[in-house]
Amino acid sequence: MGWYVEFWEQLVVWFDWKLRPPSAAGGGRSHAHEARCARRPPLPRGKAEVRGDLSVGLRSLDLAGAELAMAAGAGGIAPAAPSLVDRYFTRWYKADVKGKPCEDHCILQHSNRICVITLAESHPLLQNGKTIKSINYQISANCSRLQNKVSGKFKRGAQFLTELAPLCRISCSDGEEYTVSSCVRGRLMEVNENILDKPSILQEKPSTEGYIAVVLPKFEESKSVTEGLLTQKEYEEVVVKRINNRSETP
Amino acid sequence: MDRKQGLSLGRDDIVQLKEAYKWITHPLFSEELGVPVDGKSLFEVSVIFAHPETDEDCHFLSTSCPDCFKPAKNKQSVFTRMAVVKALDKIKEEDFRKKFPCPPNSPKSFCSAVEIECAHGAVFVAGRYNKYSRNLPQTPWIIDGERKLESSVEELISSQLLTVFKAESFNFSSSGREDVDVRTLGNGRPFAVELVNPRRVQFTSRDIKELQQKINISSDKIQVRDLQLVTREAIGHMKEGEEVKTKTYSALVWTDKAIQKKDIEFLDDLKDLQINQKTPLRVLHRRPLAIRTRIIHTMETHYIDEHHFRLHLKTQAGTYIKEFVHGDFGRTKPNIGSLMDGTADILELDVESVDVDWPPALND
Repeated sequence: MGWYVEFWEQLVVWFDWKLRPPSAAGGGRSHAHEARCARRPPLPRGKAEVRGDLSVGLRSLDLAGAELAMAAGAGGIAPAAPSLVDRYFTRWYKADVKGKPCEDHCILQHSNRICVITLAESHPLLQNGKTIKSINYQISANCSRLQNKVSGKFKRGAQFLTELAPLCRISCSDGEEYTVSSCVRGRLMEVNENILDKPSILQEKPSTEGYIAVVLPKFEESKSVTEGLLTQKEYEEVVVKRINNRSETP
Repeated sequence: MDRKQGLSLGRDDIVQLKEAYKWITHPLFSEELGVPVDGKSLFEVSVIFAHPETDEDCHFLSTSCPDCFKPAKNKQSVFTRMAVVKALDKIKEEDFRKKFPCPPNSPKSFCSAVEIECAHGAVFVAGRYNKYSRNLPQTPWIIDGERKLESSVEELISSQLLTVFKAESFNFSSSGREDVDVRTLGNGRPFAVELVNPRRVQFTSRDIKELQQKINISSDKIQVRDLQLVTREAIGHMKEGEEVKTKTYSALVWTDKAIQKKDIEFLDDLKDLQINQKTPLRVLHRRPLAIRTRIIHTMETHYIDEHHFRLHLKTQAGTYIKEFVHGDFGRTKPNIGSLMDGTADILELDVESVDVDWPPALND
């Protein structure tokens, strides 16, 4: 019976995916490829490559010299220059995912629209004293995120994810179990297999090496995919509110 | 065909009509215009003739093989080349001899020249370019019709060539490319520009040298060297370089942990280090997800201070250097951070050399 439910779930997800109209000003084009090609401006001469990413990859361009001087003078204190995540990504948050208190997720959205799903600092798993026993990508009898196979430039064959889709289940030594959810709609690119071998990475570097999954939203939904999420500032306010509430109740 | 008696004609025994035409007309053109004729010249004059009488030559086939000539929506005339060839296959030799005289009748009217077009085959200009700006893309950076960054390597080089060669358009290609924020130092990166339908093609080597100077004066963001005319085969050489040849780089690395000189020395001893790189997140939206195995041939470190060192590396073509330094969320393994058991990031990257010995170096 379980497989039946699973099958219907996937079918519903698939239909939702296919039938939801693109919200961006793409003129109602449903095919991502056409939308991409149609958006290219006419080429006056030579070839023009339309790129979606405005990233400038290096930590600090012309400030390197000043940084070095600062670093040398201050006895080698690490410069407060933007990190890898700061440079390329925008942080979005979802608090109390699936109604579970404090199970906050942080979505790192790259300027090229790719989303990296990570745990937010306030998540119970990242608090002191938690030891992760195991991480399981088998989210149901018929679905393992590890079996996700993606091929070609258009990433065919990827598992479709809605906001509530589970990515993995994490068990702790104290018996608690946590589910990490996608929080964004899109195609699953990959899940982090490095944390299977060494779960502590998830707690040591939750924003980089300890990421959970990489999701590619539809081209038309590049901007709208974060509509239900909190900005860094909004998230910080939520956390402050929680602390205040806690201190108020005896 | 009567092969047995050895009297049959093979295909090569019959002179092709167009060959006969060339043998007759070329000397006539030559005499009239006072120039030698070259069948393989890059300069092409195409003349389109019309002769309704000849058009109707094959119409008799529609009576003998009507089913070959079915009218279709897209065809102007029913008598397409394919249809005519099909009908000629079908028709019996006796029928053909009856309907079409051999030799054919003399035409009653002259043909008329409908269109004359002159065009010159593409010429190729190659060289090597240096890039000194950390704010210059290889190709124009345009999103939604809006230019995001001023100019580009290809425009700075090709626009000058376009003007001087009086060409219609250009195609710029190079042996690999670098990011917007990466400089190209040393001997530079090989490139080739295809100039389409140039109106001027006669250039002395002095002319080309002057053109090179002109480009170099026009911008301080890029410089070119070894500018020269090359053949079409050039492009093949260059693309071979992209896939096969090694490159050397210089990176300014930052570490989160405080380091001493001895902490980075071990990197100098690593030879032919194999790394596995998943498609970097920053290009994953437009490239397939895959794992690439690449070799870091040699590394050389220069200690700067507790959190910085310069890393020189020589790598296999196609290696993502930035990702090798910062690890790309652990998706490039091993990476500088993992090798040093900490976190590393890249502040600056320069291409020191592109190890392709093409185009031939010129003594400037």
